[in-house]
Amino acid sequence: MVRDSWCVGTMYRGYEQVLVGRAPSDVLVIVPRICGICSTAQLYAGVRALEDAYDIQPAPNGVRVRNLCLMAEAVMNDARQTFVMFCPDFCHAAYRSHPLYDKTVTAFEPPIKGYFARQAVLRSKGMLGIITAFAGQWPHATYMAPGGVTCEVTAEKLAKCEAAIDEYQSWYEAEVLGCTSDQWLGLHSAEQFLGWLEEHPDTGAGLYAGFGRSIGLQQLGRGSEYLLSCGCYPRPDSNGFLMPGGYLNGERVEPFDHHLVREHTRYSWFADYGPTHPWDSVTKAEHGQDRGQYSHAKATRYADHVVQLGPMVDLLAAGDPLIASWMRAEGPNAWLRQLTRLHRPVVVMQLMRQTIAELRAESSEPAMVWPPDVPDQAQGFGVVNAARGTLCHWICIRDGKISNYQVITPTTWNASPRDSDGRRGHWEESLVGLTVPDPDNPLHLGHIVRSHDPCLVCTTHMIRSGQRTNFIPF
Amino acid sequence: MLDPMPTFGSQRTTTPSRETGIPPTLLWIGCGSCSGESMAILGVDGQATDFLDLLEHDGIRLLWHPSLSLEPLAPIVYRVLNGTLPLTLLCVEGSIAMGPDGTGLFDTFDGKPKRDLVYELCAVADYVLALGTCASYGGIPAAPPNPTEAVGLQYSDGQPGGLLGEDWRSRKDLPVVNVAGCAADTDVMLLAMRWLLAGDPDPAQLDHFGRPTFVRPCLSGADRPKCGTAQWVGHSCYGCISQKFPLSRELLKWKEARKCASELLLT
Repeated sequence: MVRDSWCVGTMYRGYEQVLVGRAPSDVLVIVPRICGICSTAQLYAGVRALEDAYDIQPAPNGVRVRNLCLMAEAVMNDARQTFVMFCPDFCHAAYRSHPLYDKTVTAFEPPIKGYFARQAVLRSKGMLGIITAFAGQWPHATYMAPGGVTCEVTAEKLAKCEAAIDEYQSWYEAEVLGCTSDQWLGLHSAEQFLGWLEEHPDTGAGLYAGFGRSIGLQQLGRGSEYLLSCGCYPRPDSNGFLMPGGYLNGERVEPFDHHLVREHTRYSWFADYGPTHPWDSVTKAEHGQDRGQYSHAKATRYADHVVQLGPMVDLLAAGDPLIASWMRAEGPNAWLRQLTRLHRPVVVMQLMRQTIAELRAESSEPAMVWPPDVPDQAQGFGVVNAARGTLCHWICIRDGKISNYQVITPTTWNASPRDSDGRRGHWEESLVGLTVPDPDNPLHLGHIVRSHDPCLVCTTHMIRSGQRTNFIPF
Repeated sequence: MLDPMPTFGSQRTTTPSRETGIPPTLLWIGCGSCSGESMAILGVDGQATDFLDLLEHDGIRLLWHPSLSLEPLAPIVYRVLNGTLPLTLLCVEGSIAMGPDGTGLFDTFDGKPKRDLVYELCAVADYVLALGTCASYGGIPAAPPNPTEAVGLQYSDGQPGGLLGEDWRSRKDLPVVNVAGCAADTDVMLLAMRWLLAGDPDPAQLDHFGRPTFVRPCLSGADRPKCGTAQWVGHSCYGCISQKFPLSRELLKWKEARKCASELLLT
């Protein structure tokens, strides 16, 4: 039984400090490189922070191209995370006597040997083709700028994007879902889903869902009751999001307000100035142990609450009926988090088609409005939804240079250490009380953490190195 | 406990090591990285090869990879270090953090500085590849004010040195092979690995910054040998294969972007 837990971010890279003192436009080159998995999201959050600081609205077609690329990144990530990173744990020898074991090995065997793992890698390359059509390369391209996108948007590129979606959707329907997207999206309740599962046990989604429930993932990793989503995909008119977000505080849904975000560094290897809003935060590495510091991650809190976030919350906040039904039935859990990653691509591919249709209909409009000169003094906030949840950037500009830059990634929230009041972060809390039959193979612990699609890079490398030593001292 | 060493791809071995007859091995270590190369090597539409090809056609035995492996790293590392598991290719991704104050504690593995682990692994590998500009030269983390005291494997701040020092050579007598790029190109990474696996790589194939001659600027091609970034996305090249990246000057020139902005109508 896990009695207590400490989530340790084992790495500090200093990106925020590198940005200080540089020209604001350097954000566009540097921030995508924070993360090789969600570099589109990082670029998008950075450019929105600049637009907020410059007080401009981007061209609607620019927003559409950005969204199309961000959606492609999410669809790619959902497949790779599910079939290459999460499900391979089902092939562990501890499950050898499970009746579905042979099937899971055939489907998910690591490294990328299982059928679905291979398919996920190969098919998602086509999805990334949507990004490279505009950006030239992935990851780490700079094709957005305040005002829109700087790449060309041609009918030919849009045709290529549509073909990529067609191809991906055909595979997804045939092998992952075993039914059409419309039939899948007609599953509005947990009961209807279980009916579908009975008929489709051997599809990619069916194998995940069936095996996952058989080992009790739906009872694992509840964590914080406070759920946060900023909303997904800004509307082309810059008025809200295509999939609205919110702060789910028990029964109520409140609008997300970045002013309620605080960073705590009481237990982090940074100088401790008490809880501060990111515009006022100072990231000053300080490597002592004198007050019990144990992580390179900061503890982030919203409205003074420990929150959890990710696709499950994003779809719940956007009113998705299937996810809402499961939440009512079982609450937040590892199984539902991962199921959301199989469900979301179906929803998002519809939005991608809609976005392409709008770009075609508005083809006489520009994708860029030229931004004003850089203001001498300004501050800005940019938020988008990365594949693994809400991603926020804050910028302060003084004398035309960046004077402060703060990034809070989804994993920062989920993997946060204790805060100034000593409250555990969401992962830390999720693990307390967990029964671990074999401390040498804390499989359930791995399932819980991996159900959050832990960003191995934005914040921490904790799960690999620390399962038994740093992370959970039993 | 599960044997931590599954023998991947052993049936398809096509290039056994000349001396031992066993498949070549690959170990991938992530340091101060964004995982960009880990992702890039899985492939992007339009590129010729990807990691699957390496595993399946070249018969490489993957010992460990940060995103693809199920087992804990530690037991594998210890077998590599004590010599019971031969290491053909060591792939290092990300900058090496020497801070704070030279302790290396900004990036740890098992509570110890990661840079010490990398240093020891380099000593037992036939060949060492620095994948990406960070592992090669320090990259963005090493940009001023270099808060993590980041260096590349054999270069820092544009000069020979880095973690291993200028004179370091691998067991097969080659300096670190710097596959520069941000992110390093998939095809070029595979090309570099295959060049080493073919045996007897000629050091003359490396330029004075340790780059194989086939490392090319981003988005370049046969018809366009220079960096294609400006033509593609409207910004100037910011020098991602350079040993000093990012430069301390302003990174983006807007001329091309301004031009594009006036022409960005659908055609």
